[in-house]
Amino acid sequence: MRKTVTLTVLALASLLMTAPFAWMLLSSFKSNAEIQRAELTVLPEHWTLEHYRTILGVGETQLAGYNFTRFYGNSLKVALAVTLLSTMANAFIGYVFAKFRFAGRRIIFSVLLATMMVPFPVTMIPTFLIMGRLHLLDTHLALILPGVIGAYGVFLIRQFVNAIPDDLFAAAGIDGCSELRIFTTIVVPSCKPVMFATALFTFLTTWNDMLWPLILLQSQEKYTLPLALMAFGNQYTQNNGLILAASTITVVPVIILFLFVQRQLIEGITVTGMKN
Amino acid sequence: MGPLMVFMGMFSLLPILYALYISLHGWGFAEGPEFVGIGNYQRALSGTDPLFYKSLWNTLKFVLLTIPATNALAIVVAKLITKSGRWEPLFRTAFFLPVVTNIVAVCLLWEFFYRGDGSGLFNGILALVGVPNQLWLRDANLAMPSIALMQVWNGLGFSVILYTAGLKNIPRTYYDAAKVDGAEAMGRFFYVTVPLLMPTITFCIVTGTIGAFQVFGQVLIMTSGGPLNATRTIVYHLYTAAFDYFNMGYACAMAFILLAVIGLFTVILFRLTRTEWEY
Repeated sequence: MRKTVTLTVLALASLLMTAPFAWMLLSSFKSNAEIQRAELTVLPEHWTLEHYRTILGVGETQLAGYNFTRFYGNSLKVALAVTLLSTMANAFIGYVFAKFRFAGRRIIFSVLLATMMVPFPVTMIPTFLIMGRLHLLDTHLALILPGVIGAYGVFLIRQFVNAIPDDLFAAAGIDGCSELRIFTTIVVPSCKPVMFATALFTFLTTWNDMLWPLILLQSQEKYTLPLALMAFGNQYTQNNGLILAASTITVVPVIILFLFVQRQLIEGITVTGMKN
Repeated sequence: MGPLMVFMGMFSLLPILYALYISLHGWGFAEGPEFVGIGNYQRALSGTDPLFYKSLWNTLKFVLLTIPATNALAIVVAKLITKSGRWEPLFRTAFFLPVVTNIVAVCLLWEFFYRGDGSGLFNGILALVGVPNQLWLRDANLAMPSIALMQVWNGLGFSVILYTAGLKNIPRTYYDAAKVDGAEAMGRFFYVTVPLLMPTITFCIVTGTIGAFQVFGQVLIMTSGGPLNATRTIVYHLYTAAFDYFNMGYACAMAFILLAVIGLFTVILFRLTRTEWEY
């Protein structure tokens, strides 16, 4: 009885959480006139692919400057680059902070942790100006670089490497392993789960980021998906069907990806949350 | 290692020091930096720019409207989810979907729900109970609560995940002992669950508050800070100062004031959620 109540309440709440997505998906197949109507319909009266055809550039209506396949490519490129580079760099730096003794190690690590607490609004303007000095404004490289060093990732890896017994490193040293070899054969395998989880999280936040691309990018053909969607929404305010279809194509692939990796992602979030 | 350290400094420490430097200067795009001391900070704090305190207050409103509601709801949902047995993964997924969605799509979608005419979902619901159409995002009184409601929906899943994990860490024996002592469900919740969940509660509230103080995308997309600056938040205000009016110095000063406010709230929240007892 108690269980039935619990399940019913959760089922209803889950419906509330997911209904907006269902509405978005279904309405993207409706005609503009139907979306605009006062009464709320669930299923489209007449299913139409018109909005998707327009967005993907195969319909009768042409959209100037909005090539969503290209935006997909941009987003994928930036998110993958940040994810790969940051995962490797953070693991390596975390390992160095955990196992190497060097002058100023404590201080440098504390400073790194302190920078982690500083919110992005403080650093976005100077980072923007630094990118200007480097002549990197309006480039994907400038989008990628600041995301590479995540103090948080360094911190996590350091915790995990600290947990690896020192004997293992000593033994590897006696066997004549190089630092790089130790890193790839001992550190990476034992940190794999946490590296994978932070990588997923990095990918997701980079993919969804809007603020940094908004500040940095000028040329529309370089836009990432959220930025393109925002510009698109501003330009086609009256065309509801197009906006819904464009939103859907930015959301659905992420949801599908999430369904495949949700266990690792959620475990990763839990680990990072509990470690504090 | 050397180059990595330099690179690390360049994108972590250098921007912060540089921001401090910029904040002490009059700094436009065309003209070079001109030292003004604490002038930019004075301009904000003295009320010369009336929109500064207004946006700070709006931001605080957003924090107060989202954080308590999100955490209270998330604890209840997490408690239910831990009791849902084999359905747990399904429910977790449902609550987490909004979290993985990009904020632009979320805002565009909710703008449909908040439409001021009869075609908006919320006006449709109000019509059922005989309340006239509201303007929602175009109503100065309703705009901020509307954005906050969307944010609760959007951010709930993240806290739910953390609370679910936190609840699972509480050993069953405490509940059994409380039952033997005759504690009812409510009593067990407030005297066993809440105190033992305190570390998670602190973490969720502190990180949530830090994030909420930086609310930006939602107001940029949905209201552009309006109507009548009712949703102008501090990050939106400093963004416009920097990139619409090219006043980098003033924008950086406001960013540091925001940092101080966030720091103050973090300290207060840590104090408030500190438990005096141990189990």
